[in-house]
Amino acid sequence: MEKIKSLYLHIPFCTWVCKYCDFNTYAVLEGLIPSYTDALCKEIEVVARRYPVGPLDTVFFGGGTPSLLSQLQLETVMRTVTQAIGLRPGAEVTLEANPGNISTVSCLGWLAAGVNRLSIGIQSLRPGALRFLERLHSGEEAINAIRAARAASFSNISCDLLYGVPGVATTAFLEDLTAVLAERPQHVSAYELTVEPITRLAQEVRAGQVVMPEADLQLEQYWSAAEVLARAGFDHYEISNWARPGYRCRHNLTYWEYRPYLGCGAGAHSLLRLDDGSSERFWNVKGPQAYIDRVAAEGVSVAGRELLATERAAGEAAMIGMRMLDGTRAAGAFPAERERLAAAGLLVEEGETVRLTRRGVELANQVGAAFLR
Amino acid sequence: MPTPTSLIRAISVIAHVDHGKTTLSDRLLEFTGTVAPRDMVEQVLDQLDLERERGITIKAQAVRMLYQAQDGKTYQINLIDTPGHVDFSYEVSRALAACDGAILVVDASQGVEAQTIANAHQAMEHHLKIVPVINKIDLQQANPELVREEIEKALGLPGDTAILASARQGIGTREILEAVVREVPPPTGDPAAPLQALIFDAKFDAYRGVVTYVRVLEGGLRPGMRILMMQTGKTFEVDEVGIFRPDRIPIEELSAGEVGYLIASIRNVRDSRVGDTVTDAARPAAEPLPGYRHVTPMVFAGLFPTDSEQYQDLKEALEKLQLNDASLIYEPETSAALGFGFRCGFLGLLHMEIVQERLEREFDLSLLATAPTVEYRVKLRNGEEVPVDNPDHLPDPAQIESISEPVVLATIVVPSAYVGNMMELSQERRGQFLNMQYEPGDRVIITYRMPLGEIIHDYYDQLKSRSKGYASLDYELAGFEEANLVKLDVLVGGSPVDALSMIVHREKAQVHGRRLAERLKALIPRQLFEVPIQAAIGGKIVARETVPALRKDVIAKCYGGDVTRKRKLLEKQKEGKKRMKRVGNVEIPQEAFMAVLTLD
Repeated sequence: MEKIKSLYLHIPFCTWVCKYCDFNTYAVLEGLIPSYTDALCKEIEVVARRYPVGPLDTVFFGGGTPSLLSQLQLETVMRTVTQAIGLRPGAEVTLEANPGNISTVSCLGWLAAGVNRLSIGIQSLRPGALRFLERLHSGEEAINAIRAARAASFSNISCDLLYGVPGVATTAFLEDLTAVLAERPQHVSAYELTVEPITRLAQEVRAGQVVMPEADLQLEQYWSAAEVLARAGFDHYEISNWARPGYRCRHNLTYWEYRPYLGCGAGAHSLLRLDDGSSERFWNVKGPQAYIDRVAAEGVSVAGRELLATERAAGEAAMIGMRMLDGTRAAGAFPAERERLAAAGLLVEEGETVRLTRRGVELANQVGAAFLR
Repeated sequence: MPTPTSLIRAISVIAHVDHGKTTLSDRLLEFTGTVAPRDMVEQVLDQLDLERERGITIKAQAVRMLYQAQDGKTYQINLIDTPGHVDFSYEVSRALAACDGAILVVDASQGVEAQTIANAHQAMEHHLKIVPVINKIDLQQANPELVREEIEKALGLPGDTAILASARQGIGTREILEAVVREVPPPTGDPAAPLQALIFDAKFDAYRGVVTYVRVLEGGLRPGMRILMMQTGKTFEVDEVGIFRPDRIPIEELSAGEVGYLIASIRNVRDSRVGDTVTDAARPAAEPLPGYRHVTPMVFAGLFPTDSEQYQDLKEALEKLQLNDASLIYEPETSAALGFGFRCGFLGLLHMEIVQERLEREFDLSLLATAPTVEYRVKLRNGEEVPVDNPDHLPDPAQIESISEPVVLATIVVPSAYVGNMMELSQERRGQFLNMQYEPGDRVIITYRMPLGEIIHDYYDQLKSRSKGYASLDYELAGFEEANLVKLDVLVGGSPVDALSMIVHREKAQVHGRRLAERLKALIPRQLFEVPIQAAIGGKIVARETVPALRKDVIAKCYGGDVTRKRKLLEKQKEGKKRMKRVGNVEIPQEAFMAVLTLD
């Protein structure tokens, strides 16, 4: 079994669940955070003994809103990770944070706990868009959050932005992007606002209260953002991710390169890679209370599991690997599909590597699906 | 102890669809105590699930009732319930051949309609005594006096003696039975003569083999007899004879005048051919009974399994279904677009729909049907004449001398306000006006000579919608006529799709081509490439549409916890594609193959 070097830690709590979000997160359950943190530590200790893991290259606190953890809680979790699994020198430790939780003081605390990469959920700087998205911060607060992180000496800052927000014109979106880039972050993720089926946004779209922008406008915003970012010296290294040289998110690269990882916390997924090329994936129960109870009883909280035989695992690796714009070697087992997609102008083949074309990026699902049975 | 022939009656109930003949049959069964009230369900005689669900009768049914009349005698009344839809008019014809009289049911609010006329005429051709019944007199819109007049004028039957009834409320049931015993003549056959029995239906029973429905006209039929089928020349030994009450009940003998069934370990329905005469092999009748109108399929379509692995299952299902439905014919067909399947012949579109539904439901198949077409006769320059029931098999135009198409005599009955609409529609469909007759009650009977090919393409639906549902239609085949016909080819993504070709009149070819291309554009989902759709006549493109290429199909986020969900989503997308048919590079959904049907 391939040695696991990445750990994901899920913090399923938010002050408010935004209407477009379908992540595993809960508002009004903050009272559970202390016992949840205890359960999380216990699970980390159990999986550390059960799987070939560590020392870790990357740790990622995702959510939810991990910045809701107190300084002490974060330190406790980090200490558990270090003692039970171990961190390599230079390991990347990311924390997702909302602008409202970011101050110089909180940043200094996170740095002290061992966090060295901050991923800030900015989404937009426009009051109208922020209100529409139900974000709890203002544009000014978002900019100040980046400044506070820099002032506390975070040297690896990522900013999340959303495009394709109803009512936001391309020029307005690009203004936001430019304003964010002026704060010199090392990494940017720009996501299309997607209507996920079980969200309030989906309800509003079905009811005709919200009209989502056409594909042409979404793509216009996407490609013009890509241009602005390229001019600012960012590499477009994944469909929705850009980084200055040396600042690609190593944790997320684990997923895209189909290397194994462990996920702890409610609803978190883990992937094991076996020597014959097959994979095993398992995931935890989603509800925080259920998670806490299961971990208390069994030490882990696995809800489901799937085994992917070699060929299917290879298909999955290719499906996800082609999201990296430098290309992937994971599609080697699919010469016929590669040829067909290349002929269709969606891929270019460079030796063992295949890479999405511009059109291939726009139709990445078609490419991904080709590698599945 | 056989019933004396003087106390036997054999009748049919005939009517336009929905005028209530099946409900009336239910009442007669109840009234005569044939079916105990606790066993009574609606539509007792409709045995197929589909019949009860759709409230229609597809197969003719026979039942024996015993009725104690006011003269004190007990009569044996053999009743044959018949379907009303025009597709199944051959069922009516064969039922009538086995009867001496007919109850003609006319709806008191709808009046005489196209199939009322057609069925009444058929009954007259068979020299049956007709007992007119005006049904549904309990309805508010009922106008029995007007209907009496229509019966007189349009059918030439005595309207004043028509019995007023409400099958739903049981009004008039006794009067109908009295009229039957009084007016319908008893059979004239001689129980001692050599056997002559007419086969009017046959069914396959999984346990007993073929159950043959017969009316004995001369002589008697007993178990143990060796019988001869006079048309096929095959002989069988009778295992069982019996009657329907309405379940099968074995009896000692079926004698002259009686209706019932015989079982003789016949394995194949084709050996028990409807219209054939059963006789005693040891003492055969001198000649067979006159047969009746031979059943010919009117429309043809390809049936293909969606999943090519179901081909063998489809083949077996068709074989089994044909055991019960002798009017269904089929032969293997190969389509470049759809793979292996069967070319099937049907009596009409309803029949086609029912066959497809029964195949899918009773045999758990998923089928794709191509657009129905009629059978053309193509005269070649070398003098040969070939039938063509598949547009793709039309010979090279250079070899064709002429093409003839089947035409029908169509009778439309409609309130006078809609005459204009009916004529407009019929002329659009290349109809040739023959006659128009004004009837009492503001009714008009219009007759047209029309290409059958125009009728099968939603003519009936249009007729209904352009007359607010009032028009009724009946038609019968009236030979073949030469017409200026061409083959319209469809190219999707540059490749011809055989299953989409059609034969159309030259003058309409361009319009049809254009509409078909538009419909296909709406039905074919966006693909990686732009997909041109072209309609062509003899290599010349007459219409073109383009399905634009897929613009965007990408998921913004894909991290560790999203992979399974995303994979499943894409796998599902791919599964959906598998249900489409791939022609060249293009995925075509199933509905596209039926698009031709709704072009007008």
